[in-house]
Amino acid sequence: MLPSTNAATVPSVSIPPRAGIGLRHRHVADFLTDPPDVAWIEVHSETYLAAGGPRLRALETIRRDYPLSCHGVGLSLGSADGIDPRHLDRLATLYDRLQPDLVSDHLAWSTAGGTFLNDLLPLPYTDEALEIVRRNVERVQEALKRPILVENPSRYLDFAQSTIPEAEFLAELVRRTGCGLLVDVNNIHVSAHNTGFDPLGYLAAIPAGAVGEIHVAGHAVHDTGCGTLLIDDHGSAVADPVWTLLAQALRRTGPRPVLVEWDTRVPELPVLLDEAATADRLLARIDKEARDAA
Amino acid sequence: MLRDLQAAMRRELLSAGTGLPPGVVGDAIPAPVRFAIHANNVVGSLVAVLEAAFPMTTRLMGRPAFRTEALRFVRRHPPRVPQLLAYGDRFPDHLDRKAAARPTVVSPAAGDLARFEWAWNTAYFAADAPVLNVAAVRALPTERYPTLRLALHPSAHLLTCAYPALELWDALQRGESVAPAARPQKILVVRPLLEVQSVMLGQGELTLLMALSAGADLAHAAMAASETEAGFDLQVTFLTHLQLGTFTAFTDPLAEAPL
Repeated sequence: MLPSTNAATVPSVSIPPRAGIGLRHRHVADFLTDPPDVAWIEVHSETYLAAGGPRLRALETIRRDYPLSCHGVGLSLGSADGIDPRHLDRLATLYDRLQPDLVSDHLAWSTAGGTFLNDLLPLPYTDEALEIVRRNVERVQEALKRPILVENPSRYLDFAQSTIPEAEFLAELVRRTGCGLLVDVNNIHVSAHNTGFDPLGYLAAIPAGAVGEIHVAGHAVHDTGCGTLLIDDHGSAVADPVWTLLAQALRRTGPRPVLVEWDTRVPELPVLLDEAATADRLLARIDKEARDAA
Repeated sequence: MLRDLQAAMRRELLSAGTGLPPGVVGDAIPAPVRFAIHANNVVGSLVAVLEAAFPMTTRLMGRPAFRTEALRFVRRHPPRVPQLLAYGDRFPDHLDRKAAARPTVVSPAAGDLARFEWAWNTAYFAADAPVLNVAAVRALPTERYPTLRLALHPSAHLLTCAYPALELWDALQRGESVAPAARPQKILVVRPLLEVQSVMLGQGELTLLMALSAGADLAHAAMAASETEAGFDLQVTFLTHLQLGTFTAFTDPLAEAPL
């Protein structure tokens, strides 16, 4: 159970505070023939923006057996141009059909001047950007008639224009819009390495009560020749420091749904389920710690 | 202003140059190295999207040549909406233009093959619709057939290719090497239920389906078909497409007429 003090602000009560996995195309047949024992699933919303066909049909079938989180990668919440109304309509239609338990997207932008760039691009954290993101999040929440979760991005660069630390930017966004947060601890680890901040300080600045979901994923180490950058490629097992950061995050937020993301070089389903089992053991351990302490 | 920064980033991300938007901070790792992560993500992911949408065209052209053309296309015609299932509709035309300019680099068959793959993708993701069944048509009095108007299934695509795209696609799927020679081929791609079907069409058959999809009744469509193909057999063709699932519904003006 979620702590009652947080329940009012956490828009994820229908997703259990356990480990879920991302549903990937290569595992769809496994899910249809022998539904695995996993507490919930997440999909990338834009992958299902089709009028019909087998892909959507399969998801509708699988969805009957699992709580579903729809994770967007295309809303472009940070666009100065605003939210594309046609894209919002398409998502609303999809969500009407799938009735997801949770909807999320990123603190990033991907559309400018009518071009979709297919990357979660960094924002400068300024008062102007905060106002733009606030407007966009409110627009989305009004259209979808539900609060959304906003995810912290992986960062490879900083802007000289930035005046607000990212965690504070998110906290202020929560305060102004009533949105929840999707805390990606792999992204915190990656961004902290790449742009130089303290991941624990970051966690401390996040409003724990607003966290509705946590992501973990693998990352790659890229040697630039003048230092390493960590790349958030979701292409390997979760690294040890990220599990440690997950434990620290859970100690702050209490039990939350934890998603294991693995999107490139996707392994056999059992490998992914093993990662989810690791997350479940960690959730149980932190929960026990908290109860023992109380 | 954020709008200006985003416009500048969009420009730099899609250009092949090494320009930087204002304000990117560098340290031990210089700003251009950091920004390049995003530039590579943008073009790399979009090239990968095209490769996944056109697997047999990739095989025909060879991966390096395909990726070169895909990169050119991505820079020139980036997606306009965050719906990548719909990205790539103009890529076949891009390949045609490149093949016309440099036939030794881009096979002249690539455009038609890509057009076929795009029709396949579009059919796969098209709206679901009930298929008109043979029994429903058989239940009608035959004197009503001439005035029937038949709607093609929403997944149906009619293609007229200068190269035998369906044959090439089949051969490439089997892993065979191909040496495409120009030979016109007319193709129907349709997904009546969950499986995409593709069949070669005769000239009369294509004319019939085009006329029906343009709203002609069966008698006029059959007449048009007979004009383009001597000995066109309406009965066989009609039954073939009823069985395939080419049609989704019909309207029978006589049945709808007030009594």
